[in-house]
Amino acid sequence: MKIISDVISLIFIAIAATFFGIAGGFPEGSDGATGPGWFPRIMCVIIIVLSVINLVTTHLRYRVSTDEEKEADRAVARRLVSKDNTIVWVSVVATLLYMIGIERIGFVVSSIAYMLIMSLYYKVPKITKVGTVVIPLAVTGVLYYVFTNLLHVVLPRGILI
Amino acid sequence: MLDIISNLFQPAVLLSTLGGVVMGIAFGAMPGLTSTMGVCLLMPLTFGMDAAPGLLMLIGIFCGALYGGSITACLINTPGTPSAAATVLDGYPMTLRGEAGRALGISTVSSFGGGIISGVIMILIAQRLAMISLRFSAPETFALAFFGLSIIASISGKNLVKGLMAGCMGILLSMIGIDNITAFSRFNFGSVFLMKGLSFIPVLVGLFALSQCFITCEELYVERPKPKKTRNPIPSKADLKRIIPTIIRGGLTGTFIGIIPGAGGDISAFISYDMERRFSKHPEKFGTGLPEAIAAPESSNNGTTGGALIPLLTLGIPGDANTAIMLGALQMHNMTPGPSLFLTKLADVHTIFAGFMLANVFVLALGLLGQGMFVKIVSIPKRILVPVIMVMCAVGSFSINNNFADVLVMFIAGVVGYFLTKGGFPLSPIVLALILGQMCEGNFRRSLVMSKGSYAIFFQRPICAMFLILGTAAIIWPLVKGVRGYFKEQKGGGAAA
Repeated sequence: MKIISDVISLIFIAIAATFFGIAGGFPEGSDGATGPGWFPRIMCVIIIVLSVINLVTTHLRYRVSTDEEKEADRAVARRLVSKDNTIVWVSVVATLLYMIGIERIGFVVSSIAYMLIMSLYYKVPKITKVGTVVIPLAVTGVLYYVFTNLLHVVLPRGILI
Repeated sequence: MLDIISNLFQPAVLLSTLGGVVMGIAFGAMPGLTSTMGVCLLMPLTFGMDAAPGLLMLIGIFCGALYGGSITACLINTPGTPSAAATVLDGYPMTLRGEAGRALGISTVSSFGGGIISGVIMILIAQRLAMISLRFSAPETFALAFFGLSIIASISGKNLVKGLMAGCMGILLSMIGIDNITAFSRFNFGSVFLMKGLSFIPVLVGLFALSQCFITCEELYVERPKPKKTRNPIPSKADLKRIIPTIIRGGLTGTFIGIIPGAGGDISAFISYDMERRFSKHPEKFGTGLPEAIAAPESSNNGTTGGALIPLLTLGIPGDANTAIMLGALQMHNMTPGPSLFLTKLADVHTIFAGFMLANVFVLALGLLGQGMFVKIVSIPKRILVPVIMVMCAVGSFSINNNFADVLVMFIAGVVGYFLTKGGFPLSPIVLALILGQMCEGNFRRSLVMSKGSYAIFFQRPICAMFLILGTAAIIWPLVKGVRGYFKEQKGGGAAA
């Protein structure tokens, strides 16, 4: 957790520093009021200070932790990039592709295809093999009906539906 | 009165409340799916509805999910929600004795009782509290938003610094878009989409629903144990006589704790369980399957529902992630919490109050009659649920503005939420800050315009000063406690060495 926490703290510092720089170019306030850049700059400073505190305290805690605790901590970070976690990264990429597919191909076709492919990839249990086909069709049908007919939302149509 | 009854018994109101409770119980009953996820995912469905049925659907999910957590707590020794963690202690031992139906019956009646007690208190005090906020102008509203943001300290748990970091980042993100005082466009990076600011619902859906799906993927093949079949869930007269005083105590405790921003069902359930054990003539029997030990946490956690709605409806202060989402729903339906809500939308407020009671009646009815169905729902494999939820995340985010960019925002928030969770960062502060950030900044600057730049305005007004002091104390106290604990730990470690 330490490594991940440290990386996040550094990213927070980078974001806060960027926003601080941008906010410096905003107009000054008038009539006693602060300008549009004052509050964001204060927030950026607080984020940077808190991130540094987090980096330091995490480091101090890590230093006094036992070898087992250190190993457990490293294991959390290792697991993220391990083979065991492939399923998460495949799900992340597949979800991104699905979301792009919604716009390019259309909601209905991409949703059915996505759920079908993910069910196959996740190896849905034997009892629910019929469900592997029926569930994507039923879920997409119900969502399409509810959003299009009841909520009057025009769902994306790409080259298909 | 007749108006309220006719509003309440409109098919749309009845169906949305019932649907909300059913979905809430289902979400609560499935470990890994949270009530927040349920409220997030189904919120877009409410946009096409009128305000009252839409909000009642969300309230139904909230009430249903808090009860639903007890189903798996009693049947498979796994709390469906954190609020049901205390129910496991005696619910599962009772199931092991072959009394699964009895355990679920007691938890159902207790949840109903706790919910009704909190509903009565909400009806009695909400309007009066809202009228106090009539005296609020910009400095008080800023102080109130600051107090609301200070909740971050209490919902961050042991990760106070990380919670504060997440909260401040949420405030910073809330400033993206057009400044509502000078109309100056901030942090849009040349994007037209960002000019109107980050839509917080896609961020919510991503943080709470999509990231949870990614986390669930890690244990996709670790299936839950099969729940035991239940019989005769209606509690006997002897059980009812035994648990009614416990339900009253639990309901009152839950309501009080629910009113306190940041304290939710999980805290109140453990407090009530502990209180019941202290008052019991047989504290040694707790943990062996005592009826009152199931009734105490269940009545208490459902008691927090009405309690949490009081500051939400009267002051616009969400006490937790669920009520934060409901605050968003109120805003979407053009309902501004506070006195104006009670002055201009009184009929809707009364319908919401009555609907809250009805939602608890549905919890009772479904809990006693529909247990077989919920036991089946608990058995749905995660491998089927995850892709379905991901599709719902996408369609829900798209439907808010009919904008594909919202879907991408949701996806990014989901991935960010996954890494933040892995790094031990709480997610709720981001949501609270995203909602309250603009309110805090806008009113702070308006106050300075009123005082011509003098900061004394914040300390010359009693209500404003009170909220600022309370908020500062709420942030500083956990920090002081943490530092003291750290030095104590060091001292202890040094002494041991």
